Amino acid sequence: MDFKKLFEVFVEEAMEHIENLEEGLLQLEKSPDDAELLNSIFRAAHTIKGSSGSLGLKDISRFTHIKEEILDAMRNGEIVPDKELISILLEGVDLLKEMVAAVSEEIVFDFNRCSGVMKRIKELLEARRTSDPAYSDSASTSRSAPDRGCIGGGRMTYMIVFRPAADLFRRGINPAMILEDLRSLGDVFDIRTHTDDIPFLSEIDPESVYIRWDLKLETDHDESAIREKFAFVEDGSEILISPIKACTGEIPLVGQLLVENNVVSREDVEEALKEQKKLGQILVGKGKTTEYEIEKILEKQNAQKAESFKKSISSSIRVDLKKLDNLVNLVGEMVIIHSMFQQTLSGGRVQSNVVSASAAERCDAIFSQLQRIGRDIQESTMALRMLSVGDVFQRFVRLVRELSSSKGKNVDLVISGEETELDKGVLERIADPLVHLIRNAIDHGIETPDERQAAGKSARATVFLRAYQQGDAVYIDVEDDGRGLNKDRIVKKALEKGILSDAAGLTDEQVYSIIFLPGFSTAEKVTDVSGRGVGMDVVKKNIETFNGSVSIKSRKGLGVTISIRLPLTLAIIDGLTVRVGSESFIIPITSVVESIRPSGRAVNTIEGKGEVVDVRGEYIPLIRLYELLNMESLKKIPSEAIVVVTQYRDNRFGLMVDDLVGEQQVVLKNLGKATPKVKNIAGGTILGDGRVALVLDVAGIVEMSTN
Amino acid sequence: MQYTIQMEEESVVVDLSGNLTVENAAALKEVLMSALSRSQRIIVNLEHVEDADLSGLQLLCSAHRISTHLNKNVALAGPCSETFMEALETAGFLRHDGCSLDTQKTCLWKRA
Repeated sequence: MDFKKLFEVFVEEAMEHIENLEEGLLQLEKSPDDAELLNSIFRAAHTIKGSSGSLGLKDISRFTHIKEEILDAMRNGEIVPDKELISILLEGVDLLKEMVAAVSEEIVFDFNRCSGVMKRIKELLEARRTSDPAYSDSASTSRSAPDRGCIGGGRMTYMIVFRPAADLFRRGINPAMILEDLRSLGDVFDIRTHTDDIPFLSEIDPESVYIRWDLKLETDHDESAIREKFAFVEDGSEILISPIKACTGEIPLVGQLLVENNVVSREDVEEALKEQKKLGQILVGKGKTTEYEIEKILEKQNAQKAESFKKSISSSIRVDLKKLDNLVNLVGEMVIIHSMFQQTLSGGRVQSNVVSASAAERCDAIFSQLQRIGRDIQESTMALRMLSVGDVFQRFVRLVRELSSSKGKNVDLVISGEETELDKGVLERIADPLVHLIRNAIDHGIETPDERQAAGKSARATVFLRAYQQGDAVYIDVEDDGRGLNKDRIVKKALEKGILSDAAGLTDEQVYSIIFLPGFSTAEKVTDVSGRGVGMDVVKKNIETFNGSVSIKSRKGLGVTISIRLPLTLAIIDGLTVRVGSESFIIPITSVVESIRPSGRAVNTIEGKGEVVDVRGEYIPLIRLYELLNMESLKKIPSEAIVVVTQYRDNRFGLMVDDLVGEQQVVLKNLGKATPKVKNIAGGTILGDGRVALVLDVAGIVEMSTN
Repeated sequence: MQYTIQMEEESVVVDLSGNLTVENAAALKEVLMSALSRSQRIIVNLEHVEDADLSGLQLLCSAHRISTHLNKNVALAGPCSETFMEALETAGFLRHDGCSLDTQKTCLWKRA
C-alpha cells in the first residue's frame, strides 16, 4: 500500500476540515445558538480525529479528541460557547495546522507544545460543568432563542452601500426616503454620503441622482427585511448589504447573560472588562519579565501566525463540480464529433472516389462545431484555475479580530465581492500583501476609540475589503475609515531619511507613493505589527511581480484606500485587432467604448494638455500610438486614421491607430523573462496567420502618455 | 419656490424660499447659475425654505463644487430653516468633512 499517497490525501482533506473548523468557530462566536453550525464544527473535528487515527497519527487524534469533547459538551447544551472557549479552540486549530503541516513535510512535531492548550481546555470544561450553574441553566433556554450573538437579542449590524439609480426622481421616488424606511428597522448610523460624483452646475441634470450612501444599520430584522425596503428602487440601483462580522460590543457571553438577567448593567460589564489586563501586562506588573521581553515574544507569535496562515494555502486546487462536469461534457461532444467526421469521410469514399459535395458541406458544418467545442474546452480549462477570492478573504476575519483586540481598537471588517474570480497562482501570492495592508490599516490608519470619538467619529472603525472586476483587470481595495495619511509627516520623514532631497512641487499622489519605498516608515513607535519600514515596499514588489500595480488614495481624517490592480493574465480575452504601421496590436475589448474616424476639425491642441479629440461634445485626450510606441505609421493625420475610444477608470482616452482589422478571441500569453518589463504591453498572442501580436495594456498606455 | 438675487458690494445674495424640491430643481439650477455668473462670492440664504429634498441638496453641493473649482466662494448666509435642516439630516448630508474638492474647507454641510 502506498502510504505516502494516503498521507497526502489526509493532509489535503485535513486542511480543508481545519479551514471549516476555523471559519465555523468564528461564526459560532457571533451566533452561539446555531445548532447546525455546532454540528458541522463537530463533524469537522470528528473527521480529522477519525482519519488521523486510522493512519496511526496518534498525536493528532489525541489532540482532536480533547477538542471534540468540548464541542460535544456544547452540542449537548452542557456549556455555552463564549469568547474564552472559542479563543482556546482557535489556538488549538493553529496547533492542529502545524501538526498537519508537519505530516506533509515529514518532520516530527513536538507534542509537548500541545500540553498547555490541552490542560486549559480540560480546566475550562471542568469549571464550566461544575461551578457555574448559570451556564447549564441558560443553555437549555438559549437553544430556542435564535441568533443571540449580541446583547439585546438577535441584533445584528449590517453595512449597507446604496447607490440609487440616476432616474429615481423621474420614477417618482425620493431616494432619501429609503433611508427613512431603514430607520424604521433599527438604528442607522455612520452615514457617509459620497458627493464626489455630483457634476458641476453647468453639467448637472437637476432631476438625476448622483450620490452614494454607505451606512450601518443595527437591527433585529434579518437581511431579507432590509432588502425588502429596497424593492421599489432595485432596478438600476447598486445595493450591497453585508453583515458586519463581529457583534457590537466585544462582551463575552457571561457578561451578556448577566445583563440580560438584570444582575448588572451593560456599563458595569464594560467597566469591568476595561480593568481586565492582558497576560503580558500582568506578568510585567508582577516583575516576572520586562516589556522588552514581551514585545519580543509578541513578535514571534505574529511570525508564527503568519506562517500558519501561509500553510493553509495548499498547492492543489479544489474545483467546482459544475466546472468539471462541463468539461467532461465537452470532451464527450468532442468524441461524438470525431466519430461523425470519420463516418462522413468514409461514407463519401464509398459512394465515389471523390468526396461528394454534400459530404464536403457536412465536413464544413462539423468543422465549425469542432471549432466551437475547441474554444469551449479552452475556456473551461482556463476557468479551472480561477478561484473566488472569498476563500482568502474569509481568513482575514480572524486576522482583524485578533489584531483589533490586541491593539485595543474596535474594528469591523466588511467584505464584498467574494465571488470575484482570480487565477489560483495570483490568489496565492496576493494573500501576503493583503495581510500587510490590513495590518497597516489597523495599526497606523485606525485611531484608538478615544481618538475617534474626539474627532467626532464613531468609536468602531471599519476596514473594507473589496474585490471587483473592471475592464481587463481585477481590483482589490483595502479601505479604512481611519485618520488618513499625514502628508507633512511623510515628507518630513523622507527628507530626514534622505529618500527625498526636495519636496517642492510634489503632488499628493507622489507624496503618498513614498510609503512604498524601501526602508520608509513613519510610525513613531515600532510595534509588533508594523513600523519597521518593511512591508509596503514588499507589498508593491510582490504585486508587481505579476504585473499588478498599487495605487493609494487618502483623505485626511477620513481614511486611506489602497487599490491593487491585477491584470487578467493567463486568460482568453476578447480583443480588437488594430494596425499601426506594419504591426498588429490587440486592445482588450473590455476597455474599448467605440471607434470613430474624427473629422479634421474635431482634433485640437490644448496648451499644456496636448491633443484632444471631440467625441460628440466631449473632449478626450488623443494618444497617437505610433508616437508612444516609437514606430512608423502610415497615417499621421487623425482624420485619415481611426480613433479607438477606450475607458480607463472614470476617464476616456482616444488611441489613434492606422486601421481596424477585426474582433477576435486571443489567448493572452506572458512575454516571459527574455523581454524586459514594458508597462504598456500586457502580453502577447499568436494570430490566426501565425504572427505574434502584442496585447496593449490600456492602463499602462494612459499612464505613459500622461507622464 | 421663490427667490431674489441681490447684488451687494463684493457679493451676490440669493434668498431662497418655498420648496427646494425636484419640481423646482430646473428653476433652482438656473437661479444658482445666474448668481454664480455675477460675482466671485455668493451667499445663499436658506432661512425661509419650507421643504427640500435630495435634488435641492445636490444642486447646492454642485454650486459649491464648481465654485471651489473656479476659485469662487459659495457660503450660507446664516442658520437654515428647521425643515431644511431636517432634510439634511434625513439625507445624511450633515458631515464632518467636505468632499474631495473642498480643499478650502468651506463645505456647506459641515456639522458645527
